[in-house]
Amino acid sequence: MTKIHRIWNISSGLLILLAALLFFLDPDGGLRVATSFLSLTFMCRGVGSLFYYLTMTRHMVGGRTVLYRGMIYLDLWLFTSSLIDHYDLYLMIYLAGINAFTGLVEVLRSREEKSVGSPGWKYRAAYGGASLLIAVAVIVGCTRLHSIRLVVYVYAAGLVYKSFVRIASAFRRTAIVFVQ
Amino acid sequence: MNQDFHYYGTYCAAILAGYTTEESLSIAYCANFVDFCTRSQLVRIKGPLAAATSMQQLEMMDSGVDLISLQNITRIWSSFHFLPGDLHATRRGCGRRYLNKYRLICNPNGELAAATVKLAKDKGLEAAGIAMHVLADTWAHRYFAGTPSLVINNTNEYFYELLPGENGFTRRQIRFMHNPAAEDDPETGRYNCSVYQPNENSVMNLGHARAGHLPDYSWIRYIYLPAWGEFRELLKDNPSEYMHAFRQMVYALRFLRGDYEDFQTARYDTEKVDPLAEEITRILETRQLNASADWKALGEKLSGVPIPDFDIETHQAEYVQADAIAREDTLLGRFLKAALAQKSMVTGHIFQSGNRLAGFSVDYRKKGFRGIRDFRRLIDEKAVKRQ
Repeated sequence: MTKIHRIWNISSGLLILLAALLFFLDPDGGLRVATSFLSLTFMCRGVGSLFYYLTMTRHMVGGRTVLYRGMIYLDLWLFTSSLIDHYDLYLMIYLAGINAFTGLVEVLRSREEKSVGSPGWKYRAAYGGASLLIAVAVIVGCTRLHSIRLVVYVYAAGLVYKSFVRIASAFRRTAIVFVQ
Repeated sequence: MNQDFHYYGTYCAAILAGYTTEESLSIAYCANFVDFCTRSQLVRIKGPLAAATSMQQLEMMDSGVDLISLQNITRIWSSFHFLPGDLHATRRGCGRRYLNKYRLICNPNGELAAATVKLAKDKGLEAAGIAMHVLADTWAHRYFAGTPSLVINNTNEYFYELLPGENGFTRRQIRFMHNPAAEDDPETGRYNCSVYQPNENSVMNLGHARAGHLPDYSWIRYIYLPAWGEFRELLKDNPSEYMHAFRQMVYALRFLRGDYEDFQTARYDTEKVDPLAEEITRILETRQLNASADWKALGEKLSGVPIPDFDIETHQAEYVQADAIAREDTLLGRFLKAALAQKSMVTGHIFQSGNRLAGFSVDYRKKGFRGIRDFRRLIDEKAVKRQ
């Protein structure tokens, strides 16, 4: 990891942490920011796909599909940005989906680690279980309790976790020593 | 390649190269253990995690697509399973970003293949075993890169098996499925492969995952359009590739034993292998998912003693029960040290070529020790040798 990568990890981690604090302090305003952010991700994906096509996949067999994908993402960005006030459903689906998937993977990993006698399986099982519970809480919160605030808090908690991981990764030793 | 070639095939090569049965067994165990030395396995035996030579499927699923995870994946797969053939390859009209991936395409007889064998010289049977795994895989896994990459490793529906018949070969389209629980079926031409993932860095696009296990079957011949191949058909003739691999392994092992002064690429043993060529060709060309029984029979015929089945736990108790200093001198201790040396060497070369996909490498001679602590074992070994 270069010094620039480390500085980027720390500064972006702090920015994410700041955003999470704002969500906790002002959940209603935070929701609008979060939904706008999700819409913007379509734009970023669209631009990213076009860049990917120009630099990489134009040399690849069948690479033109990436160009078409980029155009579809940009179209989706324009479409979703016009629906920004009714976007809470998408936010819920996104959060529930990502937590359910993470939970499932962690539970599978814990079973694998348990089978080879690794002591870390309990931590993984607990983390996977918590992720699955969060997914359930998001769905119940939205569909039964009609509380969108819960979704914002889950989103913000996820951001806090990501910011800590990002900052911590900046301090990891990553270089391989070349002994000749 | 699978256990049949890495374990029993390597055993046969070692016997032909002149090693004793015990030595050949150690070389074969280490050659095969490369596929089992995962991070989870190292956690279990409390070994150095940086010495991992493979990854379990769930470990890969667990890996993110962040920079550090991708570098870790690339280090493992490029160093042990997809040794790059030409780190300075060029291609017109391609930018640096593309070339960095393109240059990691695995191919035999490259500069790194020679460096791998030479690195194992005088480093013991464990290092020889690792080198044999790497060398063999350069033939089986050629044309794929040991880094997640859609633009290099992807395949499409244009994929045909060449079936031998009385009037030459006929083409049969291969039908890929994505069911990990289902077995490949050579009779109907249905094989498993990873699901198409449009993300450049998805682990589904690592190595030959998109072509399933086909590169690991010695009997198959197929034609396909590699993603990097500019729509040109590519023929992979595995029986021929595997025979080259076997001959090169015997030659390399003879070099490691001291029969030759130097190791040269594109040199293959004929003296020891030719008398057995017909029998080996028969094993290589038999359409079967697992050729262990045939290779085992050949190995037992060559050595005159039974070959025990591969058991991952054979040497674990010795390592786990030894104290911190004594465990370094066990078979697994020496294997892990040799694995660290191989990873250090390959990552160093990739880094020095200006390619950062395998991460950063610090040259110990110039900058001292700065990096992952597990690699200190290599320094300590050098210090001990100097004394």
